[in-house]
Amino acid sequence: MLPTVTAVLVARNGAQYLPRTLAALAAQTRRPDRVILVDAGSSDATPALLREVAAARLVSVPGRSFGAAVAHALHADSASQGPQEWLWLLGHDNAPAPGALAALLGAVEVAPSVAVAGPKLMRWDDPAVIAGFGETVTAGGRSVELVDGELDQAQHDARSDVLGVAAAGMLVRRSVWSALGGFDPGLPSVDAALDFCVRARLAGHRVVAVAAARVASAGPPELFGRRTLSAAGRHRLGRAAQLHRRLVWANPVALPVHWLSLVPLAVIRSLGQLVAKRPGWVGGELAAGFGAAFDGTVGSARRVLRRNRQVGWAAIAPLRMRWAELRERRAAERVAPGAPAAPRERIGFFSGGGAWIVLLAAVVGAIAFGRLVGAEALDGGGLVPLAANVPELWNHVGYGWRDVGSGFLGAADPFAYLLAALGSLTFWSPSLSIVALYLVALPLAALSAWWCAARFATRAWGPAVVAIAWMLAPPFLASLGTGHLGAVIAHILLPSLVLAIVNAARSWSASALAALAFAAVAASAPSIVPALLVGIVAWAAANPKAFPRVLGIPIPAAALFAPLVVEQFVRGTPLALFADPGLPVFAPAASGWHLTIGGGLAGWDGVFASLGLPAPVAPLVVVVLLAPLALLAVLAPFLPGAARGIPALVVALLGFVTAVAAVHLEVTMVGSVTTSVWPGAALSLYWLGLAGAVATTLDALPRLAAAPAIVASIGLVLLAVPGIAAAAAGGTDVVAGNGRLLPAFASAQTLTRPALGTLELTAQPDGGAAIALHRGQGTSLDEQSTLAATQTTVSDAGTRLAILAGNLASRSGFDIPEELDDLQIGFVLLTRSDDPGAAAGERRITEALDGNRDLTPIGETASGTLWYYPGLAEGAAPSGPGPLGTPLGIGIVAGQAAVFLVTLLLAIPTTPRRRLRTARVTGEETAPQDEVTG
Amino acid sequence: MTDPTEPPGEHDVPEPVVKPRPTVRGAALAGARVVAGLVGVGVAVVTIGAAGLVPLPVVRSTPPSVLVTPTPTAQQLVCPGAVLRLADETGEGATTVSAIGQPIVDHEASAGPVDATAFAQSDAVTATAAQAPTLISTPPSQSGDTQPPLLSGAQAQAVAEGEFVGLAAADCTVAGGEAWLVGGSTAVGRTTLITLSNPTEVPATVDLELFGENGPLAAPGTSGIMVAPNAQRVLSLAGFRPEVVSPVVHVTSRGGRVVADLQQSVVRGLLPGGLDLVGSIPSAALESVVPGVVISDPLAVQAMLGGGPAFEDVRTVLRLLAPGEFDGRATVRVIPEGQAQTGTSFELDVPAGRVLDVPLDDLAAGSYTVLVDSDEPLVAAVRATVAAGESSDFAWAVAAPPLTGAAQVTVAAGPAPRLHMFNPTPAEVTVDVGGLLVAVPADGSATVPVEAGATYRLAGFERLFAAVSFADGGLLAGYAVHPPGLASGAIRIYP
Repeated sequence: MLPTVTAVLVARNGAQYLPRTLAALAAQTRRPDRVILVDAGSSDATPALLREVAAARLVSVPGRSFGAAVAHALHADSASQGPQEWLWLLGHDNAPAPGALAALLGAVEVAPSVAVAGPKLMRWDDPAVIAGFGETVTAGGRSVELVDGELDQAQHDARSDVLGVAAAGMLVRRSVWSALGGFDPGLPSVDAALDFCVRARLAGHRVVAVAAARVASAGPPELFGRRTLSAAGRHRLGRAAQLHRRLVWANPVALPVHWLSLVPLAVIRSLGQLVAKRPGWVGGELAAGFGAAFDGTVGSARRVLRRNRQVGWAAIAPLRMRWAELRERRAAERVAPGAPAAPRERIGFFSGGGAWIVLLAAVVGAIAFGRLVGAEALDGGGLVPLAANVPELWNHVGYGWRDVGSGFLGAADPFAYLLAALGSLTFWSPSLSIVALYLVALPLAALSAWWCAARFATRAWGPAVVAIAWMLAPPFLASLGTGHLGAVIAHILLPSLVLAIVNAARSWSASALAALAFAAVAASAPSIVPALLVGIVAWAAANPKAFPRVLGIPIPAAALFAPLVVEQFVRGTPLALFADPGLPVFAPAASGWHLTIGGGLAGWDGVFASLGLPAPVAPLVVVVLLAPLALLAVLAPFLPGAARGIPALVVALLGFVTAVAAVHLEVTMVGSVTTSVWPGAALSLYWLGLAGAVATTLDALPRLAAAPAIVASIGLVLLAVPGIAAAAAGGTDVVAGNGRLLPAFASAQTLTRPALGTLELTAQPDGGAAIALHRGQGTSLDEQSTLAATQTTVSDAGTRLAILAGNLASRSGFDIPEELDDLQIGFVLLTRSDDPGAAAGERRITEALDGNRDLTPIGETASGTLWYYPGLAEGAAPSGPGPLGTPLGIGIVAGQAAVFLVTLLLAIPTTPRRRLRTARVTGEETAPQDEVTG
Repeated sequence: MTDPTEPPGEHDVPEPVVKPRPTVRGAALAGARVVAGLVGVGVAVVTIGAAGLVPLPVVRSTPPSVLVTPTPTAQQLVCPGAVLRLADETGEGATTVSAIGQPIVDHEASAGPVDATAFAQSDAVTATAAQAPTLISTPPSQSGDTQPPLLSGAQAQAVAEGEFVGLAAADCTVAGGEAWLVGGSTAVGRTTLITLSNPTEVPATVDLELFGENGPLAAPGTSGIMVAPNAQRVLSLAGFRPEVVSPVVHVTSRGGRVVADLQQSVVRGLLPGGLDLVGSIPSAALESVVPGVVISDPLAVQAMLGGGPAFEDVRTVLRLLAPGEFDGRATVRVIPEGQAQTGTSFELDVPAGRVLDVPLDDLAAGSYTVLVDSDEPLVAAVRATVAAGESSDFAWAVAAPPLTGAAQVTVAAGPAPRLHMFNPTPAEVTVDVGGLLVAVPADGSATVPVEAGATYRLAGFERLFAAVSFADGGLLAGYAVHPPGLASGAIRIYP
């Protein structure tokens, strides 16, 4: 009995392919006996094209998958014509070569055991390239194309028996098709044919690939009826199909294990996708895992499989891909050439002079801060020691009890995370990390700047000048001298941040690094966040293809700041978000002219005052010393390379505007006065833009770069001399400290009573007094809170403490001992005020405290005059929960930790394993989009 | 660094070195660069100019604060006690101090009881408790009382025992951490004693700083003088430094607070020259007002002045000291009481650290207010002498502290008491003196006789200086009126 062939052609929005496919079908040497055309819910010209075909049945099904469309068509066509009836499954893009059906029939006729035969699929747009020729699964269950994208040189033509073939062009015995129930409804596209073939094999049939039959294919099955599909989408479909197959194929005993492992595996694989720089795949990974866990089609599919199974799984094991072969294929993928690295001569760190500059910076740093070697901590200006140990450091992050002032429940500054991380580096003595940071600050700044500049420059002069300008930047030296630690850290990190942001356009790893650096800079200097965000948005706009990679940079910082933002907005003080973290210190606001020259006269006013020269000389000298630098910066837009110079100058403008805004924003309270936001970090940004413009100019000058570079460097070095000399001579606010926050006597007592309070009073010029309550060893740097420093109202606890302090500072009939007992305050410390206007207040407070019979004067200490309250009763001090003490606190810490874990995983550098192509139906005009990993 | 014009990756490629060839495209590029550069320079100039010249608004938070009014405490005033002599009754034992007679102490509070107790311990040998310094106090006001009761007290003692003849009167004052004693002398025949009374509950450590006509005086034993709680120390100024004609003593105490008073007695040969108790000045000031300077019989004093060098100190003098580091220039005005007469004024230099005795001769009989305005803080006091035949008495009128609210004065039980008031404001005020309305002219003085032993409330003024004087025959005494010794004032606390 001669075989009869029913061709089923399923079309879905395939108008551009159908003419060629229908023509090819009509041109078959062995024409199918019947043709059923299926329109699977097309919205284009497909139905019209199908209607034109004579001698064919036309079936319309609303938007279904390929398998469902075939099943529907066959259901309508109930006339079965015996065991020799074959089905030939075609998609709209499967134009068969003229002899395709003949070749397929030839292959099945000689071997009655064959139930399924598949053709060699060729590229639609390039018939010389194989698009697919047989499929199999790995030992792990992943489906693999045996051939993909190879030039057809008959190298695979010897292959016959395969585990599975693609649905496109599949010739299948109709009786087997009906018995096996067709394609699994749980596999809408990917692996549907493979799964069917496996079931056919298990039912005792053979599946063969027929090399002589050639059928065109415009894309893999998941693309059927789709125009395009992202790599992430393909991965999600593939993974969902794999998990469905796993559950269907699994041994019943192992099934619960597989089911339970679905979600944990999805999470672990998600983290793996992050490490592999594929954050877009995480959603699909999780969706596939959860989808499989609640997949209702598994039961019926398992029943179909069990009912038809004739042979064991062992029978098909030889057809699976072996580990060795898989490894070989992966190795081949890895060495597949990626995008050829742009030929570029990078400036060597050693040959380009970077090493010498860093060495110079180390020497200058040693001169300036060598006196700090051996110090346990730094004191003075904005610096006080950190908490005494690492657990305490980490107890001061997140949302919880803030033991600053009278104490309150609120969010910590993000800076506390940074300090905790920094302090953990020198876990045996956290404060030592700040000393170490001071010692390496200059070389680190020089290194960071050189590295960033070398990324853009072609000549060595630019990076050298940038590195010198950066390590000797006036705002940097000023921040170091006054102990504005946040501005110091921001200055060191800024060039690296810029480099990472620029690279983020091309790499997930750089994007994640930029996100971490951005979070650190934002935590250190919130005042420059708006300027940085403007820069990031502009860079994202300039790189629309890298939109998520660039725009995602602020996410970790946003996670860190979210609790603080909410609290400040609820309190009605949103501008206080820009307040500098750390110990509030008063700094006189710089004038606009001073900001222009980097924040001040860099110590030259002092030099000239000591020489007895008139006051206007100092600004003149500073302007002259900076003139070469300014001239080189201004030249940048006039020269080739303006495309880099102009953005650099825009950065400088943003920094300058931010600095001007900062000195006009006085939100931080220091006793009875307010102080402006420290403009140091914003000036660093300004300086960064200027230095960038200078580097561009030096790069654009053909052979004349040396002279201006040397002149500018000499100007910078001379400018910094007074500042460095002052630092070396100990003329700065920052001094070596002993690591104690309180006088030794009080510190010693708090060792046994950690909740013991020390009330600190500081007389103010207006006759009042500022107060601070220290618990235990004292309020460390990481305990400081901008929420406390910027609050504009007094809390109840603050009022209570103020009343106690006011009565302590007066001759009063107040029951001071009872209140001291209640608040567990054992010491009263009157700090010396530098302001002569505070002398009267200081005398009044001293007299009152001296005249208090309940207090014992201890006397003068390094930090002030100390009184002791010997009658302190045992009791509990007002306190509150730590960062993990409230559900809200746990939620906040967990959320922030999750964001940082994801960012860290993304930041781990990995080697690119393969180039992934966003699937796109061939024949479209647009070029394929490439994604580069690593 | 943002780079909107170049796609990524082109950074890596070196700028192609193009040989300058005059093409349209090259010219356009160069022109664009020049335009960009000029725009850049323009933006920079405008921005920097705006930052330097345009006054921008400042967003400034107000530091939150709490104005804490201390809980009122027991008010305590110390009256210095009986006149003392540096010998026992027989004239022997020059190292011991003994009391002579006893003063009459009057006191009154505007509300509530007044408690008067004698000091438990004194360097001076006191036969009875009435001779000891008196601590007068009111208990802390009841809760809800925003205005604590006013308390005042004063003492007077007329002595006529051997070489001690004269009238001494003193206000009872609040203990403090700092006091200036302007008066006294350690020349031959002049005895000057300093009393330090500590009414507080903690020991006081007192340092004395001595100034003389030749500048600051260093002397052993002037620092670290311990005054036990509820005790009085009596120190002879001559014991520190004899032969100082014009001393000024600066008293500072740590720990407890003290009331410092100075007692001076004069003997010229065998002739008693009078005695006086001198109150303290709380602090040096740019404006010193000495009200209640009484000149009763200038001709008799003039006559006595002819008696020899020992009588040199019967002259009326203004004692001035600028204790700071800088020389000052002072304007002295002597304003007679009553509108009819106008005062005299003169300027002088006040050297830093040196005590100046400025003679105020040729003052007619009457009472005066002496004003000293200077550019450096000063302390000032005026000594006036009365003579009746051979006997004489003197009194130091010291710079009075300003009264800025309701005040209360107790008139000591002395003869012929008068209340002197000086109004520094440019408008006449009518002062309510215990119901009696007294007009005090703008920038002028007024005086009113008052009743000995009575207590008056002063009200109806914004700023006033006042003193009480006693001048009857050969007796002269007086004291400045102090503002109420309230608990410390309110203090602003910045939590």
